[in-house]
Amino acid sequence: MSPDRKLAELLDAATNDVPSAYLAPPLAAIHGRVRRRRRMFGAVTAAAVVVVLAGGYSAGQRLLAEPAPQVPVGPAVSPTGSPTAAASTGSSGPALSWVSAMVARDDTTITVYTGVKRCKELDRPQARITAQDAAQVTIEVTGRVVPAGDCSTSGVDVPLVVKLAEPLGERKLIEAVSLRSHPTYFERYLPDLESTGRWSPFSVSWEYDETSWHGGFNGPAGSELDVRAQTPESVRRGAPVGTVKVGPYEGVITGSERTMWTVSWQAGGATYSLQLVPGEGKSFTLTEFKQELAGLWS
Amino acid sequence: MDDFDAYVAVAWPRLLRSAWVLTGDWHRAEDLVQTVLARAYGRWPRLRDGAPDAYLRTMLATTYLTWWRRRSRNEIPTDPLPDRPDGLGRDVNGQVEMQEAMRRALALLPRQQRAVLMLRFHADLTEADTARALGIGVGTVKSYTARALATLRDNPSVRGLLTEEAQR
Repeated sequence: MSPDRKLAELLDAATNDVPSAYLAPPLAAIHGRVRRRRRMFGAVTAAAVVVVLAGGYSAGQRLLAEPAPQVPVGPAVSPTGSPTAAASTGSSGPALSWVSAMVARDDTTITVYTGVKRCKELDRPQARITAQDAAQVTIEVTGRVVPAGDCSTSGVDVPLVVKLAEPLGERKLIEAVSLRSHPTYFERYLPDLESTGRWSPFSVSWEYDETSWHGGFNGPAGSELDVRAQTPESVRRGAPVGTVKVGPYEGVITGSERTMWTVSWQAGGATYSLQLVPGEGKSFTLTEFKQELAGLWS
Repeated sequence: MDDFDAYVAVAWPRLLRSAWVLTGDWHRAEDLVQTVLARAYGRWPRLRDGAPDAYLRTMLATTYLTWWRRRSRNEIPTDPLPDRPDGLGRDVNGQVEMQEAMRRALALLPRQQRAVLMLRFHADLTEADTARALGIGVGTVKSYTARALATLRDNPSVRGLLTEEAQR
């Protein structure tokens, strides 16, 4: 038998045993993603139409055909606290949708996540506050969609930061194109990992239209903490093996010593989780995992 | 589109298995397949009469290549072992051990090589089709395949499995 045939058979055998939790196709979740994609696509299309109507056909053509910028394009920061100040910065292109937001521990720094599909990128994207009152804060993202200089680094999230003059408090964040609230997460529901001195963050990115938020931290002995925030309906997890207090929250533990442990908890209408990945060839007992968790909120 | 749902109901397990070859993680595999199916939904009227499995597996590979949640370090195994259907944790016929060995071995491969292996040996695409799918040359497909196989053969656990599997 050829090595190729052997490998094909081995891949078949290795994937033959799909865990029961994943056997049923999640049709509702797939259709939910279809609807979200359509909302985003509609928002981008509407923005492009506005540009064409306002600037004429040639402007629309430029939007689609302009080559990638020659200078590196990074996330723009709009350190603006008032609508007036924000408006004065001017628009950098058509309005685009953002898909999720993370509110920093200071409750005034907000990162919204936007992006465009593979092989496209945003030219000078900006986020700004377009309106705010006692009930809500509306954030708009602008930027021109241009061909990506490098397809392999495209199609991922683009974080953009805005700064509020006053804490967000109980106000809702509204996405300016759809005028809807999108998944909003809060650092205050997560442990302050950097302050422990044991964990250092590393850069993490995800698909541009994914509504979950991800963070990653390197820790002692090659270990890693994967942090995730997501909407409750998108959570799929294995069988719980126990519960634990994580700060003020009741956490549910899943996983095993042979692989890794995960704890997840509900806060502010979202699900947050920490997954402790041991270094290569190492493992954590459940007791060690709980000890590590206890140290994170101390 | 009822026929889209009917197709997904049947194709889901095999797409999920292909996604596992890429991600080594059932949860991320599910996430990847969901993403791809959501994208494919709008194109379904054009896909359904062709070869949707091959098209979707190509989308799995290209979408996977845009996902790199750990840019600053090599990908490492992160997936829980599969839940045992009997709930007793017994490893019938060494299935869990074999899957774990494969997961760890595949995790050591660069993402491009992993995508090539999935398309060539799990989706059963030809070298030319794999090259077209990934936008690379046939020579690159051959080179990635050879390097990936060499890496797997250098892995003591997988070398043994390859021999065992061939003898079954």
